[in-house]
Amino acid sequence: MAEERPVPAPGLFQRVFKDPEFRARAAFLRRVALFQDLGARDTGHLIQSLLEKTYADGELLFDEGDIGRALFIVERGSVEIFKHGTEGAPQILASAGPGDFFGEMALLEELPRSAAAIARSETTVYLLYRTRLFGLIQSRPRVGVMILNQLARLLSARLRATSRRLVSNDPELVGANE
Amino acid sequence: MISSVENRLFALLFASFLLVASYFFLAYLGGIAFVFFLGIVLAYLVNPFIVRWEARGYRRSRLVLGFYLVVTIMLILAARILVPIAASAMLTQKVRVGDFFDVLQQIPADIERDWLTRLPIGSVQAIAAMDAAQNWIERSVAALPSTLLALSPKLFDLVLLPVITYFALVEGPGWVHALIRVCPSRHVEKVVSLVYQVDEVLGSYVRGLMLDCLCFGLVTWIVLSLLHVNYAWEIAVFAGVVNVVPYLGPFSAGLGAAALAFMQFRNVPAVLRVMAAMVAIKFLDDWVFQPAIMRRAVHLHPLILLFAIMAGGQLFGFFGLVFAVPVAATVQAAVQVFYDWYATEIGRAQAPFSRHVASIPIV
Repeated sequence: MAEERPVPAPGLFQRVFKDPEFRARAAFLRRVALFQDLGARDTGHLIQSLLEKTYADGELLFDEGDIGRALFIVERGSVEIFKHGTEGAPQILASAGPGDFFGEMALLEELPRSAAAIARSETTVYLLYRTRLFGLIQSRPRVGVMILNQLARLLSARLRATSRRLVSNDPELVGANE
Repeated sequence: MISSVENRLFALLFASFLLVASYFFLAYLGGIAFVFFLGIVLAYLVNPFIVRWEARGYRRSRLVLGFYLVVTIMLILAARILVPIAASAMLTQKVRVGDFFDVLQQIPADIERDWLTRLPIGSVQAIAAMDAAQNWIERSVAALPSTLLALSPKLFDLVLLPVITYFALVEGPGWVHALIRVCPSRHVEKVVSLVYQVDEVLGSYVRGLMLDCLCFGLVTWIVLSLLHVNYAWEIAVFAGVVNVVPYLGPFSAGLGAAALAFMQFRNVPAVLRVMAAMVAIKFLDDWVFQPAIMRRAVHLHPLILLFAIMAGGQLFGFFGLVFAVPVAATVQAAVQVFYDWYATEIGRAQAPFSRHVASIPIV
């Protein structure tokens, strides 16, 4: 997540006409790596494409094998991503906190999820659905292309890390690259 | 333990029950439900303007208030400008309106004089039929004031309509968010996908239809003006508005134009010219405007379209005719979404890359 910049206090016009919740969301999203290139108005269009949902502690966001259709961005709380182990015990792959996102493959193709995700406290996430991203690409091509570009860069980085991990068989390298 | 087949059967029965219950609920509430439905439709039409400004971070409630303020100012200005013009026009047109009714009542007598004498049928039966037609016209003209009076409860709906639209607009996408909140987590993705695909279909249909109606009305005005038909502007507005009902709308516009042309020119060739022009405009609409404008909207098979219109008319009357196509398009989009889900579940949605292509390493 990018560094937080100080936000100036809103004037009278902003207090009366501008939506403080929208402002907070926009500030939050601009700190998410996937959307950091977006301008103020582009972020506005993105916010309109997102859905907010709160999950209770221990609630399943999606299960392994479910068809993925959305990207999840954690706004607050934490999510654990795990695979069902062969002997019953889940194998935890990663944890996601505020500003992290996961499930990005669902934006590219609708395939079964390779892992499950569960909320580890009361967690609020923003969901970007494939349908909405495609709508955004059609109606605001510039915004859509910027998001897809960031997504491609992210996938490239993650794949390079995976390749290096496979070759060296050294998980420490992955952490250094990320 | 309940099997997945039983689960699906239960879901199907529950959905069918909801559908039937909704129909009886709507039929029972009748006009009240319709005003609410119309208010929500209006809000849906206005929503894109609000959304455009909302993306700049403005509060939705302020934007809706601003929109109402702008509309009110525009209405006041229009009234101040148009009312004096309309009043003076009415004074000068008073005689013409009287002429209009005279001509209307004279039509059966003219037809009897000019045409029936040439027909190879019994003149007594023909004259009796024409008398009946003349009586019907006279009764209809006489009953016009009472018919207008009977419509007065609708004025209350006119007042109610902007209020319903206001609340629907202020809430906006809140309805969808509320639906998402109550939806079980496992099904959220499916519900959202369905809601947004239906929204996209309806959105492109409504936008396309409005543009198509505008083009249809504009061309009608140009062509009728070139043919020197009186009230070309009024007919064009009527043609544009009724064009929302496929087939029946353009047909009634053509019929109206032909009737007015007959009253103006009082000869058949002129009427035929106007009718031919209206048919040509309809072909232009079908072959040029609609393919260009509605290319991103859902395409319904003509048989489904006809069935939807007739079923809509049968179930809900005139407004059933108007809303038959968007409802049918929505149902088709929903069916498409369900099919896509099914195709994805069984792995037929997208052809996977070949093993060779996938095996090339990332460099």
